[in-house]
Amino acid sequence: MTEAVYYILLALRKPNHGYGIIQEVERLTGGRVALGAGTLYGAIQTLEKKMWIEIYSVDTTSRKKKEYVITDLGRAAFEAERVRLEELLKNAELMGELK
Amino acid sequence: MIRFRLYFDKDKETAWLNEMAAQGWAVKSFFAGFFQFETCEKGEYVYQIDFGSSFFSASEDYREFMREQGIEIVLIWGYWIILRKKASAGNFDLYTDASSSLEHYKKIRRMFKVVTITELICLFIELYAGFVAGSRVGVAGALLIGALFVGCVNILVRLNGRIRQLQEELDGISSVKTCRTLSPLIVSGLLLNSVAVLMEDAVVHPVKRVIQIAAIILMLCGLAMTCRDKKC
Repeated sequence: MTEAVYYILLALRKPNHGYGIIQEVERLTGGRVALGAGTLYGAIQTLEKKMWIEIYSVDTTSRKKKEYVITDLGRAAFEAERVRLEELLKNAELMGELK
Repeated sequence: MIRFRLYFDKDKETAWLNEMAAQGWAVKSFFAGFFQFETCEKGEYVYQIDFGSSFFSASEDYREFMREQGIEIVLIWGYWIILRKKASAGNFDLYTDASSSLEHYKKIRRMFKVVTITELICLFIELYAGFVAGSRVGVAGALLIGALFVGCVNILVRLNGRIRQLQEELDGISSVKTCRTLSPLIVSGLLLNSVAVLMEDAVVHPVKRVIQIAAIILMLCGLAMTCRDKKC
């Protein structure tokens, strides 16, 4: 899972639209990860196809803003990645031994 | 204002469009190499070029997504989508991580592969028309397509280099390699030669000879340049 996908899933724990995801990810990472429009668009398309996220609402009044939200499948994938990252960090402590 | 430019490399084209915008010229429309510009405030817009997934169109989804972020679709030509955003509205990048850039360049490479193979087929047809059927236009056509073919091979070499770089960035391990591109001198030689072939016999012979000799020299120099190793 790429960093972008990881943070997009995290930002979609509650319903959000494209620009909202960018802002949320920027806030979470203190400005380090600024998602480009192409990166985000591609990721949303892929995640929707994989059914890790789904359309939450389409605002038909004025300009329609599509909102997405994470699915159970997406939560499972996120959890699997979290467990993997935890293992990586735990094993990283080995580097400090035998110095 | 209208400018004629042929770009095979979208990064160079993006840089040029942004340079023009910095000077107060915003691209408005495009047709087969002709860019039409209108005046804008200096540095008013930032341009980016995307590679879409359908020919001469973009989905409503894509349009909506871009509009929501203050990004305007200026024009669509083939698979290319020229986008712009007001500079005052903040940074404008399309692909911000290695894996999505990699996908983007791979899509572009696929398209250029198809174009290159098509050109190769056309080249053989023109060569047949030119040398077997003895048509002068056939010979000139073959040389012209040959020049385009060289251009496409070069962009493929460059795309391969860029894709390898991104792959290394993803893997976290890098190595120094060299890459070989065909020299533009070969292209100019081929073009000059096709001009000479197209010239009527009525045109004084010496002129035609001089042009052809110049073309051959250009192509030979191009060949020599191509054989030199370069770092990419």
